[in-house]
Amino acid sequence: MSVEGNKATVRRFYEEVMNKGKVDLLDELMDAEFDDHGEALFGSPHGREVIKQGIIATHSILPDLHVTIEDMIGEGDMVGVRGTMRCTHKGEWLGVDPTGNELTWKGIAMFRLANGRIMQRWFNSDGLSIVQQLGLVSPMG
Amino acid sequence: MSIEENKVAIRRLFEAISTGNTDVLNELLIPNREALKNGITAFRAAFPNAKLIVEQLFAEDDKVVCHVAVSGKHQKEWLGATSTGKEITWTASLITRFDNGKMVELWAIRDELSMMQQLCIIPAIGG
Repeated sequence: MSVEGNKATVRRFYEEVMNKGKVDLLDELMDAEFDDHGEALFGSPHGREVIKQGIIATHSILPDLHVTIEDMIGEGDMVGVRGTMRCTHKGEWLGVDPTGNELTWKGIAMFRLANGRIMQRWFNSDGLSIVQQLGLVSPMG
Repeated sequence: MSIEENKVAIRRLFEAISTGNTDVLNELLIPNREALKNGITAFRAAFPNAKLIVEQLFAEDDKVVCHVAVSGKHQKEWLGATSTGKEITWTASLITRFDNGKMVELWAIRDELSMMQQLCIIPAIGG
């Protein structure tokens, strides 16, 4: 797959799976043995099924979750993405009852693809900002 | 400047962070070089044995993307925590934009939540 083909796959992951909740598309876009290398808040799940369940659960709490892709950078089998996540806090999340507040945070992710499928991801989301917006941690200077 | 030269510049920056030798930054085109040097020196004071491993580094056009894993023993005030003596690890993801070999823009997210949890500034959340 070309860099442009890999970028198109990653774009579909965000625009169709993450934003529209079409988790069955993951069978096409992601390897069954997908490996995540995440941060403290979202963790590092293993396997496409775990990711599917995670996205379904996230959509039940944050039904209007929308990822805006701000930038994509590709080389070889890697695609980097800088994005902004926005959603309304409609269900209990991290023990916090729904507030109806709009939450927004930033993320940077790197995907490794093989044969047109997402194999691995390395990412950081601004988890500290999320827990601050949820009122779990006071904002610090 | 080429994509490969931009990558080399990022590796030099990480070398400065890994070793504390900020003189390697003198050859790089960086705005606010002295502020960056001071930041690295303060970081090395808090984590004198800090190690940085570059896990991913790739580039296209004017941007370099990377993911690094950092570890170090906490020896001096950091993020409001006084010296804990704890060995902690975290990751960071960065995108740097170059213009003619000069680093002109940086987007970076480090796992500050994890750092603060490991330093026991805040309780465990998520994961």
